[in-house]
Amino acid sequence: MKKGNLIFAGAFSALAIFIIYFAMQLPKARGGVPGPGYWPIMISIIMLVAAVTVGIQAFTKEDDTPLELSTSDHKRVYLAMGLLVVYLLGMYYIGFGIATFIMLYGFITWFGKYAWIFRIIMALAITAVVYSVFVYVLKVPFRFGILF
Amino acid sequence: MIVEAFRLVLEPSVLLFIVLGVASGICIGCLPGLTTTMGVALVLPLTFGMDATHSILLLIGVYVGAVYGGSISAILLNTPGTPASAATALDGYKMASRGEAGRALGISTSSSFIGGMISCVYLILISPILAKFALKFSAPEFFMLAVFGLCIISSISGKSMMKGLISGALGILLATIGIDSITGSMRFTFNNMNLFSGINFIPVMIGLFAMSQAFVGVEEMNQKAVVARAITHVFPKRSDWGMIVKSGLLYGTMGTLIGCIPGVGADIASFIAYGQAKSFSKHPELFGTGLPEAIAAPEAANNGVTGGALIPMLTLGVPGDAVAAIMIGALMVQGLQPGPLLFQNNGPIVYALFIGCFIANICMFVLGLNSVRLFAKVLSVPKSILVPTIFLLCFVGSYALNNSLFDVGVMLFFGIVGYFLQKTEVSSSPVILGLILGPMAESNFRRALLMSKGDYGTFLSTGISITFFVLIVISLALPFFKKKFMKKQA
Repeated sequence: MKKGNLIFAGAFSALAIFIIYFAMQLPKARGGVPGPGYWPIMISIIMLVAAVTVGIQAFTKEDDTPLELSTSDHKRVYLAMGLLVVYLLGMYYIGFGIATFIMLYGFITWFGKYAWIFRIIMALAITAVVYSVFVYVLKVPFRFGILF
Repeated sequence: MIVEAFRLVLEPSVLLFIVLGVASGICIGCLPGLTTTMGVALVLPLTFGMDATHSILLLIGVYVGAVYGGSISAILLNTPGTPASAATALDGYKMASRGEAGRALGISTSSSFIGGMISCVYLILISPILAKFALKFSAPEFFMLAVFGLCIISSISGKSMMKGLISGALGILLATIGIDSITGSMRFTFNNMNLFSGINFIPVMIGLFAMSQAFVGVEEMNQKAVVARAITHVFPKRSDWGMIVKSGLLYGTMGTLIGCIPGVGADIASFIAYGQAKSFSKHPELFGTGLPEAIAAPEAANNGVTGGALIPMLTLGVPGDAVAAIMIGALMVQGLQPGPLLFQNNGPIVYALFIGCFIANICMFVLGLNSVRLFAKVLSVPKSILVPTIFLLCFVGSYALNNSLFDVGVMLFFGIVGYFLQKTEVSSSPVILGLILGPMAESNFRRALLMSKGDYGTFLSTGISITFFVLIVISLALPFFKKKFMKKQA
């Protein structure tokens, strides 16, 4: 966990410094009334102080809890994250219906052990139900992609 | 106003939505890995096209149902459906192992019902008074209130106060993206048109609470659940009713009061109630062996929180927990701003909500006692189907808000961020509360300085502001005292 806390502290310290840098370029205070950059700078300073404290605590405290992020279970999550980014792009370029069917079929095949016909029926049924509810009942238009 | 509220609630379609909300809430709650917050976040997009009454009462139905539903898997599988039911699992599963699963479920249902009803009574009694009082607030008081809300949430949620503060600060900073409401300057938009109007907190919420939880589901894909045991005699015996009513009244009240405190959710309330029940018991040594009162106390308390969390949300615009934060989002989508003026401008809707809470609890009681065997079947839905469906609902739900794929990207990004926050033991709730309370804090901070011509003394110029200041100091000092106390106890 020590390593995890150090990465966490480093990431948020960097974010706070990044925000302070950009906020300082915003218009300054006028007549004692803070400008648009004042509030983000104030909050970023709090974030920076808290992140540095987390970093110091990580160094000084003994913590034996391991932060496991590279087991096969975690790798499965990272792959799923990547596939969902591909699904988002697929939805944009191909269209909702086809991209969703492929995504569902792919994940059900990966996660479960079902006959191919069951996987196709499930993927089709879920796509159809969600599409119908959002498009016909809630009137949400899915206007993207070259196909359906 | 009351007649108008009854007219709104007693519409058949509204009643149907409450029943549907409670039923789907129970299903969501009893599935291990699907939290109450996730359930409400997933149902939220379905409410965008509805009117305010239908929308908010559907969500309240899901909330009430899911908090109760968690106890079903806690009792049958020893795996709490939601964190709020973790305390119930301690004795509930032991009772079920003895062949008393039905009795345990009956006690859990009845005490949840009494706890929920008690919280509704407090909601009705306290809210109007608090809202009237909050009308006295001006910019400095609202600023101090927002800061208090943020501080207490950051200090209570999660294991580390510093991490809570970082999480809250992240939410506040996200809320600063877009056009500055006072000067009209662009902040952190980097010439990206999608950022001009800021980041909408609904995709962030769906990402942090639903998507990240679905990733956890992927991680735990290979964990097998034990098959549920037989359920008989769900309706509590006459001998159990005395204990159920007593626990329901006492711990329902306790849960409501705990729920009023921003950041303290149903999980904490149920463990406090379990601890109190143990200390009041004549046989504390039997706790953990399957005692009926050890099920009744946490269940009454966690359903007591449902009404309690709505009190600061409706009256002050400060969410009592993450679910209340989502409800603020739902109200804002409907054009309603939670806070003291909500009672003045939209009285019938507020009272309809109160009545709806009662109806939701009655539905939960009836469905719980009659259909618990049916809901237990939900436990057999395989994760391999459930998780991809949640992925899809997260995508479609975040798209439905503005018909924007950018929002879907935001949701996915925060889903990934939320997963890693969980891994580093950082609570995601302060991010959302920061997103909601951040604009309230900033606008009132700058307005107060504008009114006082830059005098910072304005933030401590009234009794209310000073009270909030003292509360802020206490909330920040609380974790240190808690640590010292725990060390002494050890």
